[in-house]
Amino acid sequence: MIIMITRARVSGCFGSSVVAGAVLVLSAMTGAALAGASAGLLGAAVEPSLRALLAVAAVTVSVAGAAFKPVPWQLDRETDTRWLGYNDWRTAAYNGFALGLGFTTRIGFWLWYVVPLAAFATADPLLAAAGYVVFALTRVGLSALLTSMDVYVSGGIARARMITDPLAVAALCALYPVLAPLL
Amino acid sequence: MPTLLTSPRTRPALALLPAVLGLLAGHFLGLQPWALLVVAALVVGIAQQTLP
Repeated sequence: MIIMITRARVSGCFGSSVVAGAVLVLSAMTGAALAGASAGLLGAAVEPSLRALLAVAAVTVSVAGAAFKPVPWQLDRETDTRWLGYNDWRTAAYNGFALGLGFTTRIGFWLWYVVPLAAFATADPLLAAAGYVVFALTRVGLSALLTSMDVYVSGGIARARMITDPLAVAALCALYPVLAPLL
Repeated sequence: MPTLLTSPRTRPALALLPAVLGLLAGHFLGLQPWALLVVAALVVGIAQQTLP
């Protein structure tokens, strides 16, 4: 995160790391809002029974995955390192957008799957976009905040999974009673 | 505990309790998808600070 912000610092207003950080967070919010609205729109576009059927199938696959695999299905990569070479606003904007989308980089936790599945189940583009924006603000905004305070969280992923994995299974299963009446 | 959580033998058994609790919570508390979305978004966003 610090690299993304510092590399975005060039001339003019981008001499400010605050502006670069703001671009990063706003881009993340934009990417997240688009992803959330798409999921919500997709849910609204199909009949409630088909939506429930698709969601139940996806939830079941995700629960099975979480029950057997500690590492989620993911694109195990970071954002494109070539973006760091731009040394202008694009470094922050591209990285923010990719991190806001979520699925184009490492997600790390099964709990992430609740976000698109619940967004789809809401069948409301605005609510889904708002939920995704909460994710972007927490994911990228918190990173930027911690970076600005020179606080770095390294490791701890195994300990974090001890909390997030049971929560992921519980949250995914909590969707069943919502979806079942629609079938 | 991390070993227990990553073992293919114990992991499914450990997932049973949260699965049942989730089902019960969804049924009796009437949890809505948007509420699950927001809570999951908050928690996973915080947890992702530990990503390498």
